[in-house]
Amino acid sequence: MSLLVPLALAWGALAGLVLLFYILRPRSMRVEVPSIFLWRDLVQREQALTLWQRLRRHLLLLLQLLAILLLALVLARPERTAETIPQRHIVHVIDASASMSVTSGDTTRLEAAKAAALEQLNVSESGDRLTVMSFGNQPAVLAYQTRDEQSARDAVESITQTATVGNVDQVLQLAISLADSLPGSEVYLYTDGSFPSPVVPDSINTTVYFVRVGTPADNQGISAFAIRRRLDSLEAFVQVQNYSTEAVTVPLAVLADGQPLERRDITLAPYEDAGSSVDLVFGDFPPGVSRVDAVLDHQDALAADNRTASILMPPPVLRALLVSDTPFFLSTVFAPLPFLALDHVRPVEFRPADVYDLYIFDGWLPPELPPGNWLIFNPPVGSPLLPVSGEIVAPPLDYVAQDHRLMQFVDIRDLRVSRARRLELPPWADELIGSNRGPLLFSGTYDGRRMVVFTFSLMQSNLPLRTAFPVLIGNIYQWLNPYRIQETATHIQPQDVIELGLHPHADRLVVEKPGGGRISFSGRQRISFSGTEELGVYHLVHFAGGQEVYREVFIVSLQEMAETNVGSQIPALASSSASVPPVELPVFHELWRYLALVVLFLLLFEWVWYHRVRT
Amino acid sequence: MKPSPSALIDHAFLRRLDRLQLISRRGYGMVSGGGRRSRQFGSSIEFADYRNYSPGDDYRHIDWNVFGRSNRLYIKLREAEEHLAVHVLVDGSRSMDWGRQNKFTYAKSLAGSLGYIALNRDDVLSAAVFSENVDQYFPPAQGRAFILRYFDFLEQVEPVGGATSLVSALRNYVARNAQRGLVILISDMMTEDAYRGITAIQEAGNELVLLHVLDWAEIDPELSGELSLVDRETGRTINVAADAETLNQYREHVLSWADQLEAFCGRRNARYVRLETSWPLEEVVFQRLLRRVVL
Repeated sequence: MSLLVPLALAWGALAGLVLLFYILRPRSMRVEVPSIFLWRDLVQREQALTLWQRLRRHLLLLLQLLAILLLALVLARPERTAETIPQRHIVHVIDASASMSVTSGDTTRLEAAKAAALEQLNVSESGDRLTVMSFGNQPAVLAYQTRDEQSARDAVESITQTATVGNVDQVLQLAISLADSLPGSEVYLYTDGSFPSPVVPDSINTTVYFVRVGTPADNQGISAFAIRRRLDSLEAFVQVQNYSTEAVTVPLAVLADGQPLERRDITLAPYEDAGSSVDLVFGDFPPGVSRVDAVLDHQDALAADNRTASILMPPPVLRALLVSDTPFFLSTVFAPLPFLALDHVRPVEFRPADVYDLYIFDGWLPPELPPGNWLIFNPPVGSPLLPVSGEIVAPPLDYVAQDHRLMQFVDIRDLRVSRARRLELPPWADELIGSNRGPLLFSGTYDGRRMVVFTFSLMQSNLPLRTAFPVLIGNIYQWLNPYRIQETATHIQPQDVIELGLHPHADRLVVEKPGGGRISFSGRQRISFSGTEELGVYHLVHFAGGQEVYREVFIVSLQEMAETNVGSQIPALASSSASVPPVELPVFHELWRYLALVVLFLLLFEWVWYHRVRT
Repeated sequence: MKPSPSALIDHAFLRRLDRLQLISRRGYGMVSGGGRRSRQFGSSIEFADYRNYSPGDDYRHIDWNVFGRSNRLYIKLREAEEHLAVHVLVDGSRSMDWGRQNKFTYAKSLAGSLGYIALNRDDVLSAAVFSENVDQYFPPAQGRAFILRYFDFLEQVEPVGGATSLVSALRNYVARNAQRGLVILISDMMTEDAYRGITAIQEAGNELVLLHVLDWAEIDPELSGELSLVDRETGRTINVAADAETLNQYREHVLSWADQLEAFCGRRNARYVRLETSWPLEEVVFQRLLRRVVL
């Protein structure tokens, strides 16, 4: 027998505490009796008792000491070595992606997969360690290396359907890495095979078995959907795909703000034939439409791809304030930008109470920076935010962050700067253009607000004359603009991660999910939001002091062919084989449960004995 | 109502005692004209028997009527009346000064009742309170004239303390009063020499009535927990874990001890009556002592 936590035996020292209490307990009370003549006979008789009879006087103490020592042993988790048996790690992986919701007969593919997994669990051997995983877009480990078959069964039963795109490569990699700890391990993947041929990682210890569930089903779906504005009118592009092996005619309806706009019957050729996919364009939308829905109005195996929508939200106008004594270049370059209202003041005219979404400071900074995003040119000497330590003359360029999103399509090879401020790159900033004497352009998020800093004046460089200048300013404008410039909502797949940021003037962001759920965020750090498992329209509402200051939307829709193609024949997936057989390892049985039962019995017996003595 | 001569016993109860008499199982030869029949022939008016006349007999005792009928001389024998010597010995050790109803007070009431009966019947009563020795002594007295003095004696006596030593106390008592008679011993008998004491009383030619007085709390004590019991007589202590099992054993032990005492008395032809202080005195006298033929 061995102990898993030998240090826990130290708890046995509590027995000393019990002994101390016993020794310090109140002394015997003195009671006067007419004579001890008769008591003496009794005591003499007791002194002649056996050891056990005398111990009975201290039985409660003995029971307490024994219970403490046993409890210490329980905490030390003793285990004994039983027989040695072949041990395998069996990982059951169940596909819960959108295509598994397709019904075959009375059951869905997911239910068939769970039934197959439960059946496989029936043949597990006592030495097997069982792991249960499910996956959609992300893998989830529901039971890990348990020897309790019932726990594994409960984990399988708990798997629920998702509307996500299955990421089989990721889950296989994880499953094999988990299983590879023991030779002879097995991974069972229960799936309908609605994904491109998976990449099975090489393993010498693990055999991968694909268990196919489901039968081919008829499905037609909207495989692409987009809206664009052309002059003053809208156009909707819809692509409908037939995944069935039979030709079929399906009705497609387009709704504008919930009202039918147009309905067409579309005939689609069998899958993989020419004409199985049809592209359609819808126009003639009434003015002021804010939502367009495309609906395949028929019953098929997968409902998730029969409907999609797009939201039109005209971007709000960005209010920007240019604070400069020489605003010519900057006014010229910012003027043509869309959805921008640019005001201009001289530094002496700047009033902090005026609220803007974007502040552009040229050669001057106020003592306290106002809320909003900031674009700074040629920072002045003496600002605590950007401490300038001097000037650098004709700095040679030696670094350009070409992969940075602000530098996309920006060619600054012939940039010349005659003078620039010398300052250290702040810790919150990314250098975009640098010289060996200091940064020339950097960006970052400071106190939740975005900031871009040019360390030189545009007048001291040839940048305004370069073709890269409007491109760079355009990139900067997009990044500093807290509003979406695109009129149509973003489409993402279920369980995709979307990055959320709080509007500069807001203090709280609420995500309203299609099902009515609400999730609230506060704080200025950016959030990677992954709760996108529901299909539909998500609203992001920015609040400032309880007032809504900005609302944006994104849409989660299923337009992934791998998931929607449930009608074709499920390909046979080859299983891989492990080259190492399972090894026989000793099985350890933990004994703490039995000891805990003994302790419980002891305490119960003590309780009964105590009350028996008192009565 | 006439006031009682003693605070120990009320007057109505004393009136009822007038009808009672202490019963002795044997005679002791005091033919001095006492109040009870003797096994000897004497000069009382109660006829006993006839015998032939012998020269020297008092011719006043010849039954002339029989001589007239039979022409033979017969002497008419009459019963002698004797005085019974009654010794009331009350245990005055500290163990008797205990109990919810004080055992010593109870013993004094009992001694008062029995002494009253003896004096009322012209028996010769002497009494003593003892522990290791005879501490307080009431010398022999006869006749109702001594009743008040006897009650005064009882009211004044107090438990004198110390442990009980029956043999030593008896030896001390006999030195003062060697008259054989009926010894009424009222005691809780919590002494090592109980059996030797009983034997000594009987070997001195006395007839013994043992009134064994106990308090119910001595038989079934209300104790619990770990206790240090202090002996009221000696001050010695003993540690006892008064759990249910121990108290059961103690109860059995006390009852067994009393039963053994009773059995010993039975074998020695002595009368044993166990009394508890909770029992009313009237019930003890008119039921239990009558049933045990003490009265």
